[in-house]
Amino acid sequence: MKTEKRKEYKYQMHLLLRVIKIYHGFAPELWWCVTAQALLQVAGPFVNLYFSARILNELTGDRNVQRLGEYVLLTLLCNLAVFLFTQGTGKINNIAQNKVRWKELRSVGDTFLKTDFENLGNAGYQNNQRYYLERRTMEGALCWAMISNVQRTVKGIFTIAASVIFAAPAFLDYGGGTSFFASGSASFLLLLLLGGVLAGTWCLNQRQSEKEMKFYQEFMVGNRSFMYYSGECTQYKYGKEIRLYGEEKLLLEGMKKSLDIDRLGKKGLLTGFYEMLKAGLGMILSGCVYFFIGARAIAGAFGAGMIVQYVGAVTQFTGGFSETAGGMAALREETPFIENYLGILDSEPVKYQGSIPVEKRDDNEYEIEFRDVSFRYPGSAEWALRHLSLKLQIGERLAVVGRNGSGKTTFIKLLCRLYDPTEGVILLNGIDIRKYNYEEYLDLFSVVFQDFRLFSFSLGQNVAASVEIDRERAASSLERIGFGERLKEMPRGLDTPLYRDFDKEGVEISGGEAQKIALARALYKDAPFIILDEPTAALDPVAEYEIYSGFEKLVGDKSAVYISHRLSSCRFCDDIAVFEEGRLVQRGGHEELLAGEDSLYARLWNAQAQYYAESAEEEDTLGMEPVCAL
Amino acid sequence: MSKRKKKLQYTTLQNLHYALSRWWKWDRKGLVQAFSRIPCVVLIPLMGILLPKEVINCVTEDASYGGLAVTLLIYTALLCILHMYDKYIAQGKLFAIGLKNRMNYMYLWAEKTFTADFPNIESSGGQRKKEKALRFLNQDSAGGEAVVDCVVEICADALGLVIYAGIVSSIHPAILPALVLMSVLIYIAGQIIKKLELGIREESADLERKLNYLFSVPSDFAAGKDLRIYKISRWFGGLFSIYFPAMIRLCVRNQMWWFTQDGLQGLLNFLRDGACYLLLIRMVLEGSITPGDFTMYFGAVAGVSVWLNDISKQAEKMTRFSMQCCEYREYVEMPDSFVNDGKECLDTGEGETVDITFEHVFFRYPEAKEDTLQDLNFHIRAGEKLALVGLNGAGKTTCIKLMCGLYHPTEGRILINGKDMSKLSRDEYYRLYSVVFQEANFMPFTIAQNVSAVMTGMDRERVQSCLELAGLWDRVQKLPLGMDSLLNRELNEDGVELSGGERQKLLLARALYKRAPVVVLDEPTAALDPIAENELYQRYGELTEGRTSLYISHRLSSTRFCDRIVFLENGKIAETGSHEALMEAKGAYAHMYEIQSHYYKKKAEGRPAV
Repeated sequence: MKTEKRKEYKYQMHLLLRVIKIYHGFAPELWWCVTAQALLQVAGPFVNLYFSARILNELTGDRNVQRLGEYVLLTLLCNLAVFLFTQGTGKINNIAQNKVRWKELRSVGDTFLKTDFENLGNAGYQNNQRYYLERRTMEGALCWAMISNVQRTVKGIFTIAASVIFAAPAFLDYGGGTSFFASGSASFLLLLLLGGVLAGTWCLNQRQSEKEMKFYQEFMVGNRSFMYYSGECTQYKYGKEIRLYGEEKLLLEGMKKSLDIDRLGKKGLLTGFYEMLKAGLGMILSGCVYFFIGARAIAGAFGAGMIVQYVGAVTQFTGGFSETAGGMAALREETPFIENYLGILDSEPVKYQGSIPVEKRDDNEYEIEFRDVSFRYPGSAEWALRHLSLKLQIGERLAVVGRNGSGKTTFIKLLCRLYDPTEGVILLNGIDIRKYNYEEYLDLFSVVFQDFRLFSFSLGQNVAASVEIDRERAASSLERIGFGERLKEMPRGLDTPLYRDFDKEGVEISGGEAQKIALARALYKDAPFIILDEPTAALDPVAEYEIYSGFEKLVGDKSAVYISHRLSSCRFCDDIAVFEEGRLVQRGGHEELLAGEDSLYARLWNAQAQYYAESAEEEDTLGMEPVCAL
Repeated sequence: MSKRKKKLQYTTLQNLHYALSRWWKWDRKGLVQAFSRIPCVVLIPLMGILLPKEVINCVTEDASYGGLAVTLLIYTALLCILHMYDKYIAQGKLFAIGLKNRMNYMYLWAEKTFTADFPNIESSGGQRKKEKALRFLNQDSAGGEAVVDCVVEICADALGLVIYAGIVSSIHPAILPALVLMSVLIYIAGQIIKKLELGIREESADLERKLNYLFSVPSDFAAGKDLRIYKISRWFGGLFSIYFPAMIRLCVRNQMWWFTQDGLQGLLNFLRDGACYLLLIRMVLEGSITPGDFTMYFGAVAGVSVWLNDISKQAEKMTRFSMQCCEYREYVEMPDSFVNDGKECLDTGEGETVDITFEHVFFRYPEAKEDTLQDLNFHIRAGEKLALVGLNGAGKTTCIKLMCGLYHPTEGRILINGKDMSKLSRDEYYRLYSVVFQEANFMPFTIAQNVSAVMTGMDRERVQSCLELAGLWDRVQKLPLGMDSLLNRELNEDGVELSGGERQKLLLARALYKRAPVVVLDEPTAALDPIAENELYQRYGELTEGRTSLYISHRLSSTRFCDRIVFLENGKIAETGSHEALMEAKGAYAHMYEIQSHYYKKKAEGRPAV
């Protein structure tokens, strides 16, 4: 038991030191400021104690006016200096803490950006992330609060040291001749009492923080659901359904149930109870100290003025003690957050990182081969892809079709190495893609995912995905995708912010426009492979037709992979791959695949085409040229 | 600036009355307990300055152990009781009381969000109000909870000030005015700095939002793919190195302003203490007060400053509370204009169908500059299957929102069985519609609860048959908990994650469970594969049997199983009629149909006849 505790302390200390070091890296002045401010905060009261005692002694004793004047002047000057320095370091400290806060957030955000995609999906990782998000909304940062607790502890220790020096003379043995109170044994008794009270307070603190921790853990889950009810479910997008399906009662009930306020209120009462006990102990001690010192003064051990100093110093001592204890307990309570923060920073790459540079070829001669690839999502028992073998050559158009859940998007994810195959290998120009430098490998792909994201910064930056924009290239990418007209209408051109999150002049864009910007981003990247995953699901037939007919020209000599549920849009591809339950079941040209009467492709095709069948015999009234001749 | 000058809806006193009367209603005992703390707050510091005086007087004047012991015993006992009581109330009770208040405010807020007229919630003005109202309760330092502390503190401050003022005035009558002046100076300095802060607040809030955005995006799992493929980390890193130094620069400036206030404070303290020392030492030397009194008076002077400063601090808190309270009340008291008295309802028995007529319906979203719908006229016969088609942005979804009563027409009327819908009671009117909207939003409950929209006591067989009809039962059946599986992965670690197609099917099941006389499907197949889509088409007749139904899609194949088509263009009805008639007319509908069937028609050979 004991060793376990010690181990725990050691572990906590280890974590703490690591964070201290990391924060030192964020703002080197931080810990100096913290220490200096703590020291100055301690100096303030002791300066006053020291001089008040001298002044009072003078008043009760000699009443030397000149000396009184000197004392008064010194007090005033010292107070002024200490006050200004305390506030000054405090301000620098605030700035340093601000730096730490943002850099801490950045370090976490950066880890999320850079860690393997697979990590992001991992349950433990998501837990960490949730913790982080909750903490950020509540505290502004992750373990930022530990700074003030360290400061508290340091201040407490300084206070203890100073008060021992200031109070020690009160406990000297003044000889029991005149009175018992002046004797050493009285001092001993008082010190014993002091020790007892401190020990009692310490124990109470321990129990309190343990019990509070338990409460905290009990409410983690409830708190999370409450946040969800009050945050997510009150978004206006749920409003239509709540009203039409009369879900308000259901939600209110769920909300009230998620957090048991009466029980949570008990946490307050628990804290109140312990605080009350500690206050009582403290008061009894202070009464005894007063009596002891007062009695000694009566016995003539020291002047009446010293009462102020000694009593003050002992009070400071207990204050310092509880500050240290409280600071340390608070630091211990911070452990889970620190653990969480470090856990995020420490997330190891799960993927093998190769170092072979990807050959930059002007002719874009790349060939990708899936060789007997099988894949299961981490934590899942089902195969998302099974024995997939497939070759992709530059300049080819591959359409991937299949039912929902047949592994089409998974195929893309493996291609971009967001995941590695569970079995089998993927080869680029004959070499396992794992052996390439990942960053360079990613340069080969421009992908527009189904759930692509644009960010609330300027249009140009969104297209270029960087702060520096090649403006011509960005403008021409947008133009080529059919966004040119809209770009001209934009008040600040490429610098127009998207959405109104940060800027009233930002533009709200429709789903179709967002789609086009995402496509322009893919073009801007100018990668040899362009991959579109259901890029037109939200578009009406005209917009869809525009995109497909236009995009075909844009792709040029690059390779393209399309995923679509609208089989009409796949028809102009040289090559169609049909997926079923993670397997590649058919591959070939449209006519070839359709030939098999009962094939999956034929079923998919007919399911849609039948509704257009009767007009098949009609003349093509549009006079449209097929986009790419078969 | 002009915004801040805008007159608040309620005065501070009115808001205080609002908060206190609510508090009284929710938690009478708590209110009394909170106020019972006032004597402690005043007496503890007072005894703190009296005690040293008594002890020093005991020692210097009387010098008896007995006297000292008695004095200390009384003081210690009193202080002990006061301290313990105060700690218990302040650290324990007030937490529970504040929490309870905050939660009650939260429930009111949520209820308002769930039940207000929809236009009030969806408009950007309404959303802003909603977010602002939240400031009243999203932190324990926010108005809703802080007012509990604030009221008690102000009362105590006032009482304390009176007592201390009495003590201090007995030294010299000028001391009190001087101290008040000092506090006023500090207060003014603070106000000036706040004004300066206001100048940079917008900039810093903007930077803060941007920085926070930079850190919230990366934790979005779905965005993770784009973040990697396009190496967004480089971009965001670049943005950070722009925003972060700017943020720190502002912070430095701000801290320097506050330091000037500290300078003023230090100087004033210096003057105050200097004057006190001079006065009091002279009095001791003259023999008009004892050295013990000296410590007390000195403490009292510092004490007055503390009370005064606290009053100005609490007053500031009170102003903030009042502002937040106004914002909160502006939201929860936002008037609903739709009729919702439950009186005028449409009586529809089981299996009865309704007909719907749009009469010269115009609609403009609040705050919009143009009409979204213009002069819509059409009639849906009881039991008819109508298709509503058109390009993106033609106004299809808006049309639905009007029909379901989420919005009312700006001009014109919508009649249901001949009755004007805007005269019908709102919540009962909603019961007439089963709607599947485009976005699939689910609550963090079980599948059965989501389908039936009740917590317990749903008709489980009906849930099952609806899931069957929607084509989701096979999947649900395989789940370990069946229809009692929880949906949300974010909240429940063993929650079920449904794919886009499955989510649409679940929406459909919910619509079926409701058995409303009108069924509306808004693009229900966008995420479905061709075969699943076809299955839905095949079953459409069965799903909507005996009901009036409306189908919205831009996949025109869906129009084939509807009786009639309404083609919307720019908020107006461009064409209406059956598929054949519209194709015959060779208008906009025919054009759109051609585009879509383009690739299905080319090279028709090899396609089996259907």
